[in-house]
Amino acid sequence: MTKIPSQMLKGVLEFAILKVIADGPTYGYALQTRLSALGFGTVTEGTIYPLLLKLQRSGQVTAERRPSDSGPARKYYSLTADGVQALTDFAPAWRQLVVAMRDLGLGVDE
Amino acid sequence: MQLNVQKLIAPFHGLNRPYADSLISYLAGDLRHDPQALREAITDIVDNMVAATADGQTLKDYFCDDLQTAADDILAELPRRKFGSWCRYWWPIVNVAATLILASGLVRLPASPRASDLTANSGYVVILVLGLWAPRGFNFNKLRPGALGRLAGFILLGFALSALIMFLLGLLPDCALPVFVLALICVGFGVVNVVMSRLKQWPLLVTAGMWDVMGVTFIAGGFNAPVAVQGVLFLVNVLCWGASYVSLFWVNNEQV
Repeated sequence: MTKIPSQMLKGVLEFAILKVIADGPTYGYALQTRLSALGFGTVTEGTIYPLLLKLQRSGQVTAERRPSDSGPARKYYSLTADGVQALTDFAPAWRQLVVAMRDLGLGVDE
Repeated sequence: MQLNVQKLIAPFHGLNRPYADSLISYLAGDLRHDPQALREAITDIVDNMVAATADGQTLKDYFCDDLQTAADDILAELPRRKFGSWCRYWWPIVNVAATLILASGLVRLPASPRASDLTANSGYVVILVLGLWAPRGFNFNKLRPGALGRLAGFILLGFALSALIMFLLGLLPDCALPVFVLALICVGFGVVNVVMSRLKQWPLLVTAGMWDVMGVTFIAGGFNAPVAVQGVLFLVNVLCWGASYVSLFWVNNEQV
């Protein structure tokens, strides 16, 4: 799998995290493994955690510690209404970018 | 409650342990951000790192190759320390500085104390106090120019500040120090300690009591009180301050 340059990831990773959280409350390590499994490559915790803090500060996600079956309590992140709104606002911009790149001949073949 | 770094890094082995140690020590040594938020962040990061290593990942692969950059990015997203929290952090240090200045000036118990007895050692105390604010970032493999710059800055600041204090104090007339002024200083510190103890720093009540005992002693006996009595009071005061300071770190849930 091709390594995605970090500069390219920078703009979209925040929304990728929001989308993963939108699929259901999750915690830091699960988020990292999910992003890797989706094909984002190795996105380190050192990149994800500051973004999670930023999303918390901006009120787009909330965090809650919940007991875990396999170890210490974990901090689970959930989407707020602001987070849903941010994802909604992001979608048309992203679609427009994908169309533009496809029209340039760099898009994914249908 | 202070975070116990050794306990936090205990689950990690091999090369993961020094990695975790460097990261946690660096984060925990930060003073600029809210202690509660910092403590929560460290706990979360450790929990995730434990899960990652249990899955066979190394911390270097899981967390980041450039540790200090990642740590600084995390710190940048934490809320800043509030003014009240700064006061709570610095007040015990001011307390010990005042105790040291008073004790070092009056340890000989001069019959007629003068202002210079108190000001003579103030500059050295400032250097000592600034030394408590130790620069961080020296345990990373990739030592940044910023870490060296910070150390140089602290050394220069310490000397410059102490020189400035010595200079300014030198401008003051070396007047006699009446007993009531010493008593006022002690009672003043006692009152501020009582106020500060209301800010979740109950151990300061002990220190407040000792300052007030000192003040009362000055008023009651001045420097005519038996040398042994005053010496014991000074010693007890310093010991009480030490106990208070240690309890601040271990009991009052304020310091990271």
